[in-house]
Amino acid sequence: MPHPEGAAEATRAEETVPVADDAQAKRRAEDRALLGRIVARDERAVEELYQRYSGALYSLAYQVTGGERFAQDVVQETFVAVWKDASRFDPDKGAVSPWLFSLARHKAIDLVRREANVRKRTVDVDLALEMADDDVDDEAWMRIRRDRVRLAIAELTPLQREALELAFFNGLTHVEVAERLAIPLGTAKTRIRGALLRLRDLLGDSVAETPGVPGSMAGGLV
Amino acid sequence: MSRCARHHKLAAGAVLDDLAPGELELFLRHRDMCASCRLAETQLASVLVHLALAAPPRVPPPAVLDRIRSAIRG
Repeated sequence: MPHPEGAAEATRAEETVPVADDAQAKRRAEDRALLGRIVARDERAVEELYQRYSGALYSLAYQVTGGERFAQDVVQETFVAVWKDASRFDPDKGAVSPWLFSLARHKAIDLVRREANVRKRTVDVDLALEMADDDVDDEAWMRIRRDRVRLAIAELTPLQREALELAFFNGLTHVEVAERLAIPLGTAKTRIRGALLRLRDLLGDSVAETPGVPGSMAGGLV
Repeated sequence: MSRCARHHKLAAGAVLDDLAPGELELFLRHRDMCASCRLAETQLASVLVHLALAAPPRVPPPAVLDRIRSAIRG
C-alpha cells in the first residue's frame, strides 16, 4: 500500500543521502571502535552500544516475539552475548549492525520457538508503513533509514510483503511460510528471496558495503 | 537467469539462515570464488538491518540496562 505522502517522503530522503551516507560511514567506524573496547573489557562501551541500538533491537524483538517481557529478555541476552563473544566479530568481514541485529533476531526466534504459546499472540506484524512516532526518542540516522525502508517496502508486491513479514518478523522458515500460505515451497522461496533482492535494489546506496562476508548473518554467534 | 543472479537468490536465503543443505553447499562454494556474490550477501545482510528498523519504534525500560550491567559484572 503506497504511502500517500510517498513522493514527498522520497524526495526528502534523497535530499539527505549525502549527509546520511557520511554519517553511516562514521557510525560504522564508531561501532567497530566500540566492539574493540568491549573486547578490551570496557563496560562503558557496552552501555554506549546499548544507547545506540537498544531501541531498534527492542522494537525488532517485540515484533518477533509479540511481548514486552520477551523482547526485554532478547535485548538483555543480545548484549550479554556481545560482551562475552565480541572477540568473535571480525571487522574485516562486515559492519557491526548486521551482526548485532542477526544476534537479536536469532535469539528472538529461538525464544518464540521455545515458548510456543507466544504464537497465540494477536499482535499484528504490519509492514504497511506506519510512520515513526514523534514521541519516541529516535536518532536521525535510524529515522532516515526507517522512512526509506518503509517507502521501499511499499514497492514490493503484496504477496512478497506478506511472505517477507512471515519470514523476517515472525521468524518462520521458508517451509513454514509455504505451509502457512498454502503455496509450494519454491513459490515461498521466490517471494521471500525476491523481496529481499528487490529491497536491496530499492535501497541502493543505503546498503552499499565493502565486499566481504557479513559478520554472522549466515551463522556465527547465536 | 545468469549464474550469479541465481546465486544472489541463494544469498538472500543465506542471510535469513534458511538454505537447504544442498543450496548452502552450492552457495558457499560459489561465493568463495565470486566477489559479486560476496557483495550481494553483505548488502542483503544490510537489508535485514533496514527491515528491522521498519518495526514501530519502542524503547526498552531502564531495568533492561540494569540487568545487563549486573550480568556482565556477575
